[in-house]
Amino acid sequence: MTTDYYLPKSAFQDFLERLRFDGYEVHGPMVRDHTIVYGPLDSAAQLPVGQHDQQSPGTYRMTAHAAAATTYWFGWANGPQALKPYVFAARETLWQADQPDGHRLQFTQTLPQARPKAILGVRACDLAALAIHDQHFLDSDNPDPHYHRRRADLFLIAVNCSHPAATCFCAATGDGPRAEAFHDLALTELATGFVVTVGSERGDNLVRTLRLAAAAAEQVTAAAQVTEHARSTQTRNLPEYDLPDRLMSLLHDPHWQDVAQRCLACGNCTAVCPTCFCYRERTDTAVDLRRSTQYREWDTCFNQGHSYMHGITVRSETSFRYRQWLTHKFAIWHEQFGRSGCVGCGRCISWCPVGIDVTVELNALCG
Amino acid sequence: MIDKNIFADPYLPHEVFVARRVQEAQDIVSLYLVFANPAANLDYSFQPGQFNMLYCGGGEAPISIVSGHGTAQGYLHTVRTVGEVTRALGALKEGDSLGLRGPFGQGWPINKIQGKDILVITGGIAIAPVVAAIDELMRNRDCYGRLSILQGVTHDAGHIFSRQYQDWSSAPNTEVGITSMEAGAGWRHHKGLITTLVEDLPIADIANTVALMCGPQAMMQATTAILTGKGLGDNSIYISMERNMHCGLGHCGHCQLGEKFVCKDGPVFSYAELKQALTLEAFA
Repeated sequence: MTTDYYLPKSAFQDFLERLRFDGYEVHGPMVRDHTIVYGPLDSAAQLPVGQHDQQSPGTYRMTAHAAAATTYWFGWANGPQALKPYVFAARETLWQADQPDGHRLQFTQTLPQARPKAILGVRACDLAALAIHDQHFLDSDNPDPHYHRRRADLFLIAVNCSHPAATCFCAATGDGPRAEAFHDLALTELATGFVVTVGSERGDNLVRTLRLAAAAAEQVTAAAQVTEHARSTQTRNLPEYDLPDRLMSLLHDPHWQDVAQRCLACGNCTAVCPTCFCYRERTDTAVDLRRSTQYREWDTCFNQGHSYMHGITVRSETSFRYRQWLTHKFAIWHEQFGRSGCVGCGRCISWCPVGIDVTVELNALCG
Repeated sequence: MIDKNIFADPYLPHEVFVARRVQEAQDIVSLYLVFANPAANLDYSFQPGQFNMLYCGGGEAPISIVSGHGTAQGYLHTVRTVGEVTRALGALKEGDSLGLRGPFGQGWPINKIQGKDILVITGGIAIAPVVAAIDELMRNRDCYGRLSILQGVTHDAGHIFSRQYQDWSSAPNTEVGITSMEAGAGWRHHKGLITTLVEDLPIADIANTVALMCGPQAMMQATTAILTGKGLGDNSIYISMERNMHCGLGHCGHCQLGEKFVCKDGPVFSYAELKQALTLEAFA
């Protein structure tokens, strides 16, 4: 068994400074626009200390923790963002075409100029989603150089969940609340410090440089209790059927129409989903036609244009689009990626403007 | 996984020129494309049934590769000018510069069908992705059995490649059937639906026959129903599918059909592979 270490909260700023010294731009969670998002983090004081997120179908609210013995720094579940924007940008230029003489075309690659980033406060569900995106964009006959450039230099510091939201169900999908893979370091928050678990050689090197003390046995036990408690507070569940077969046998169920009457086809669920990967390519052409840029931006299968080809929209109605999303995520994904496309983060539930709850709809369909 | 060395950017087009342009019909244009880089022109190769992403002004579009062998004559792409990009492609003149990346996808199972009697059934512009396969069969005519080439168009003006059809019809053990739903006085071929032609086609040895098909989805489904009714197995029918495609690499997600990404797993599939998805309303 590998050693766990202990990082006192009093030494946390040193930890951030060390990451910066090692060349990383440090990003971490902070409160912005009444939600928790990741952004450039200069100081531990920017962390959402004492903050809590209340989530339910169609609702996300920041609240301060009630007076408690411990002021948690990471006592919240997640914000709308996940890791997705860091590796798969919401919009990015793929290449540029120039026609300086108005005739010949010159195509130029435009790779992102990404500095190595250390991201603090990554959740287990989002690491599971990152593993899926790695598989999709990199484990491919044509690996994506844009994704690769952003992904290659990420140093990932997970913080195991202590306070899941009411919308969380990572225990049901098997993706959390404890980070098991794909992180460099994983932290579990205790009253005065963090138990640090090493996940990679880079993580090990950092811990050695910081000369952290080994965690005491009771600290390791307390950390295990934190994630065990987080697991036990989750109430949402997925149907206990063999979901892929069951869902594919229900393609003509009247319940799809029922959902479609509530669904706005807005695509919020796919934007906040950490595993959704659809994007569209577009061309911006300058007015003098001498330069155009090819960019991609996130798309959603809830858009009418997603299945459009010369006059035909394959999925013309919302019911067909919701069915496409749900069957892809929970059934067809297994054949493409060897697992479900849901990591149990619950974001699609909170950020749905009409509060459609994927766990409720699945249980209604399959029950 | 993430240490994989990335050699080339699969999103980045290569510059090509229009070496020759032929107006095949009012809304159909053939472009013979030559790479600006002579080495790329020689190195480039494709399998019959594969496609390229062509870039021109307004964006990119997936276009089948009709023919080409790395010569100065160029790689032939035949385009129906229906959308923003294809209209821009159709407006190109000889000598104009555009972008090409590819080839992408899985083509026709040319080797797997050796020794078989082959039905080639196409509708309209969908002859384009099949020409390279027919050319390949013609080059090794002895390796294949009887070849029946059936093409349906909506209007006689949409009948293109008439010289190729003439050449094919004079090849040994080969028959050609062309039909148009609407036709003027000078039309020398059949009138009516392609499905009638398929209905009426005598098939000598159904167990040793395969069909290669490309056309509108409804036409392919109707034709498949006729062929399976005649006893042809789902594994002996190959169809080339069309879907919304932005990347050609299996990344952007638009072309998903069940668990398949049409751009990389297809566009050619056996009917058996797609049967389930194709028979569901608004699923495929």
